Amino acid sequence: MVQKWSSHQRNIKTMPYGKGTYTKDGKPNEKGRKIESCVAKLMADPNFKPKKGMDKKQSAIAVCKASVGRSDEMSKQLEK
Amino acid sequence: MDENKLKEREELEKLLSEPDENQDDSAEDKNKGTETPEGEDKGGTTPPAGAETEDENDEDSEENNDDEDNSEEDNDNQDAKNRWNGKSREEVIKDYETLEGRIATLEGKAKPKEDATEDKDKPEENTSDLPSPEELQKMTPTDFAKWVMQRIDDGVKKTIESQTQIRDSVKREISEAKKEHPLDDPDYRKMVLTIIDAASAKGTVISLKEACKQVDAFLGKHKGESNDATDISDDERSRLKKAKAQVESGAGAPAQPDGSDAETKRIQKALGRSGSRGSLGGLGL
Repeated sequence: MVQKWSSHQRNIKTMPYGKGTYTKDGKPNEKGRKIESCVAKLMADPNFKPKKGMDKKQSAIAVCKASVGRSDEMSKQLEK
Repeated sequence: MDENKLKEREELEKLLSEPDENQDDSAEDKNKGTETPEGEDKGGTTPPAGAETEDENDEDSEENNDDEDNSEEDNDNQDAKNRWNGKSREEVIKDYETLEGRIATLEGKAKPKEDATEDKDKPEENTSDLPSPEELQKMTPTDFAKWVMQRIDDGVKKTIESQTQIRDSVKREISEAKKEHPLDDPDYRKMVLTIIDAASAKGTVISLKEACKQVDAFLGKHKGESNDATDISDDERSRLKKAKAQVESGAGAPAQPDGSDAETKRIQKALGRSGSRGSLGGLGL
């Protein structure tokens, strides 16, 4: 019997950057792409050190999500 | 005959009075025969009373060592000897077994301590919220469902709180920046947003004020001239567009979070002017 995942479970497995960063096709949208490139930059940066209790990628995703989310919010509010 | 007997006695007495190496061996043999079986004397694990003589021989061979070391070793050996002296083989075996038991218990206590210290070094995982297996076993399905729903609610609350915090801080930043900078102008705003986006793409955060200052630096504005900041001339507008194109092509965001002026200088160089130091101020001449 094939186990069916709920949309939430699928998101956890396939969307590491969180909700609202992917299109319906499962590809990263503009925000997702920004986070993706940011994560790639931080991962390549030897000076970037992860936070305690997190590995480098988890830490990079957290940092990028925060910074991209903030700039997103800024552009939303400025263009109101 | 009497004389011969006397001579023999004298010789025997001489032999007995003189310390002879063979005497120890004979003593050993006697002890072996009386107290311990053959195999265990050599083992060293259960030194019998006769082992004293062996130790003495060993000590004799180590005469070259320092006297202090010898004295300490002697004391230790004597203590060890005294422990086993006058005890039967069974008693010695019992004592040895109890000692082994003690050592095993001590090692058993030491290991969990080491494990505990290793656990402390490991990064803290998010297991503190999880109930213990015993508590989970006690839970009914409805209790478990309630617990899961509670956890989801807490998670949602946390994300909403963090989002509202970000929203409030951004609102505050915008209202403060609007007082000093012409953020109502669409070109100026785009320029500021491009700088902020470029910074966020590198995983850094640049404040709105800092971004506005950078744009002002591109425009060649002095700090004192911020009162008439809301009016942008046509010349400045065209320069803004040029600068925007420069930033969009990859410039603008600082390479390091602390921020150096290298990027600003590069853009100013690309625009062909040296900022606001000229006598004609923002005209860039």
